[in-house]
Amino acid sequence: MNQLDRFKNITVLGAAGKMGSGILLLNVLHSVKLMHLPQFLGQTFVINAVDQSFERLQGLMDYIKNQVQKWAEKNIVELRKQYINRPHLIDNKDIIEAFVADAMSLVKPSINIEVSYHSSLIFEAIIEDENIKTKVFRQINENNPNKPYFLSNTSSIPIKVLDDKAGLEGRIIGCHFYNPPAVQRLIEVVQLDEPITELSSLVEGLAKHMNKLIVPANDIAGFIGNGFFMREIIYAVNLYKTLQKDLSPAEALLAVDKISHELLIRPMGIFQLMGYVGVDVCSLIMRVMDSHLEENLNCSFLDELLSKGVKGGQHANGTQRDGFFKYEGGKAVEVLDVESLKYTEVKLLEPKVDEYLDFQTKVYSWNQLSRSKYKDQHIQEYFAQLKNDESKGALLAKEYSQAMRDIAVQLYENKVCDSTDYVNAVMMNGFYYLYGPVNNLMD
Amino acid sequence: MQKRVFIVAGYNTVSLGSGRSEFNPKKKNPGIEHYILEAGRKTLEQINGADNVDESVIGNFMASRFNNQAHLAAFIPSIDPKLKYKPSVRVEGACASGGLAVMTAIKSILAGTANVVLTLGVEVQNTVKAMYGADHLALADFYKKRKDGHAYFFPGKFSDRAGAYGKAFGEEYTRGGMAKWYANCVENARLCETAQEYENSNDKLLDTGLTPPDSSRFVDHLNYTDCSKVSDGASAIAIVSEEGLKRVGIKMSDAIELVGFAQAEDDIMLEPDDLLELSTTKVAVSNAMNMAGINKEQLATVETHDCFTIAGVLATEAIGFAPKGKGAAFVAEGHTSRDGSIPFNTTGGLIAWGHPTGATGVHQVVTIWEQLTGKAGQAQINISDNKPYGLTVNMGGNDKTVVSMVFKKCN
Repeated sequence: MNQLDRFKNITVLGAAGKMGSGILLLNVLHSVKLMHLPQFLGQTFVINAVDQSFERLQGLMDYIKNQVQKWAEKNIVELRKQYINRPHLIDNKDIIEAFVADAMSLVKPSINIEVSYHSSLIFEAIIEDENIKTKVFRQINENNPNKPYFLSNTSSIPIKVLDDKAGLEGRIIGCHFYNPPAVQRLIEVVQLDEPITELSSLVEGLAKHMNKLIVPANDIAGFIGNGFFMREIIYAVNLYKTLQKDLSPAEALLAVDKISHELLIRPMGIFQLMGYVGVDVCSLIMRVMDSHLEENLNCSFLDELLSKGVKGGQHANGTQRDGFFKYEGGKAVEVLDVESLKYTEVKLLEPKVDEYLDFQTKVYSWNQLSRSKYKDQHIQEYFAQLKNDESKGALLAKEYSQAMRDIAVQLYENKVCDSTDYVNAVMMNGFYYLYGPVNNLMD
Repeated sequence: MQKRVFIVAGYNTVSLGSGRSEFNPKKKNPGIEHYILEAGRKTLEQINGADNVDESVIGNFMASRFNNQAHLAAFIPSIDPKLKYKPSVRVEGACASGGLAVMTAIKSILAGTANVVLTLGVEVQNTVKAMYGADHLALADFYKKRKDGHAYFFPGKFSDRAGAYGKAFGEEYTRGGMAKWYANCVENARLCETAQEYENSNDKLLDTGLTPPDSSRFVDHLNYTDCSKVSDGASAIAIVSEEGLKRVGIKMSDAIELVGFAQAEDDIMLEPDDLLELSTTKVAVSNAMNMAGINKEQLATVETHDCFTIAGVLATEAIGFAPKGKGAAFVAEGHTSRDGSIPFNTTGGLIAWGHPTGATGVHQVVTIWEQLTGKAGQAQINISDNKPYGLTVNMGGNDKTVVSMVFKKCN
């Protein structure tokens, strides 16, 4: 089968989820382009969107339609050229509507996994559970005569494990998109030791079309992204506990979040990030990794939080749910005391935390720098000053930064990746850091 | 002219759209009826009420698409109950609708059917996103050519003109003139509180204007800053006879006099004969100036239809200030700046005051009225006794409908 022919019938599993809906959208935009290629004119393209309930699928269809329309509006100059041979489509509005109709006609929502038996490509974005993924893969593989390729969005389970357990004969690759997939440029690609060349080149071509950046990771649980993130969580939680010698639990939490956010010029602090991902998801990933690695990787704090009902996560519109913080207009305004489960206003605790950190270096905000042409120069200047700052906050920030470098180096030494550059690439493109953890900013 | 015609009581609403801090495209913005009411009432206040009005004219281009609203003449009585049952007419000539409204009012005065005509122009365009607005505005050209046009149809048309000018006289040279035009407009808009770019604080306007166009994002030879604004707004003014001037109780020194006007029309189905020239504009201006019996050296200021910066450059040539191909230099050398030999578009023009399409022709007349009567506030330029004239040029489509008028300061 020709590589592109495989796109004529594809399935996205878990299509209504946060990751699945983005992966579906990217595929819709890819397939609608393919169907206009001369060799495919008049042929039928199908994208099965499979999820658990009709309610979720209805919401999904609304989301996809909305996003496709926005995409068409933004790309109208290009679309007019694409539709030049359809004489009755004259106004931009006509063309945008036709494009949306073309795109939506591809998507077949279903709650039945059986529809995937006709597909040649299976994109998987279901729950991060080894047994469930394996069962679904096995079922599809056994009933699908096309010997489909499986593109798994797993962020932690080794691909080899899934392949062996589901009996896929090597027809699987890890394509770990970052949240939200439609926006984030990164795809962490995990191949088996002996990959199928056609599958590798198919993913490469797809990523190129979707304007995504591929970072290769080796097949070790957690890969680069979660390999880094989970170890950072453990570091941050330990620091939080240490700081409680001097500060109350809420103050300590705020202090660690501040160090990892403002003092290291990141888009959000580590606790806000944990809340964004969801404490339950973090805990699940930690357990998956722990079960596959020799290293003892666990964090009882996460389980403690879950038992107390602290979960975080996101609302359907992408805004954060209450977790470690309560948010107003995207800004954390109250912080949680994990012991008493009471929230206190950030502005009441901030003076004490600031006094404790006593930070002397002039801080740039991530927002400000991420848009600046002189970003690299300002980051150099900032760390040069931080190096000479002897305040408590600066010492903690320097230690934190060193710990992050150690994690990155450890990933390389443990053969999770072939270069620390890949760790930097993942953190900068998947986590929006302005600089990689392995750097010479304070040498 | 068989009768004297005076212009009094001008008013502009804010030009609302991107650039104004109170503008939020995601929120509900005032509708077309709001603008008609505001501008109409403010002019009525200056002429001592609606009792004095004999008839009204309203210019509008595309409310039927932007606002799903036709039959705008019937909004006039909403301004004041005393306008009920009085004559009212809506005129349309694409972006020259405002100029046509003023001209229609003038003809009523000249015909003797009215002594006081309330004249409005209005457009509310921010009801749709830019790519749909482009569809509506494209109707100012021949619809059968829409399919082959650019997604942003009119930017595409004037990009072709800018490209041709660049090819004939040098790209850098052309860009230099367009950049200076943009910088002048924003500098002028900063002096006018109703201007859309009033709050613009860019301290490198010329550098911004000199940015090379990126055809992958927009059109080949224009930047967004070369385009007029997408605007919501209305302007109103009263056109009166000598008798009407007495009736409304306005001093002669607060009026300006119309001394020449012309309208020229070209075939919408044809492409311009020469992309390097605004030939219809040339005819309209020449006829208006001849009627006024003045030469260009007697003009104190010009309000021209700079729907794109290249149209501003081309207008300096069409009016006769610069020979063909020399307009870009004329602008770049500062002649059209507010302290230059002939200040153009002293409150920012279409580029920076804004372009509520159907209102623009009226707005131009209001600006000339303000300047010649000393009411332009911070934007006031010096009007010397030996240069008591102001010129307007209002263009519809790609130089298809053009209204040009010459006004004189009254002593």
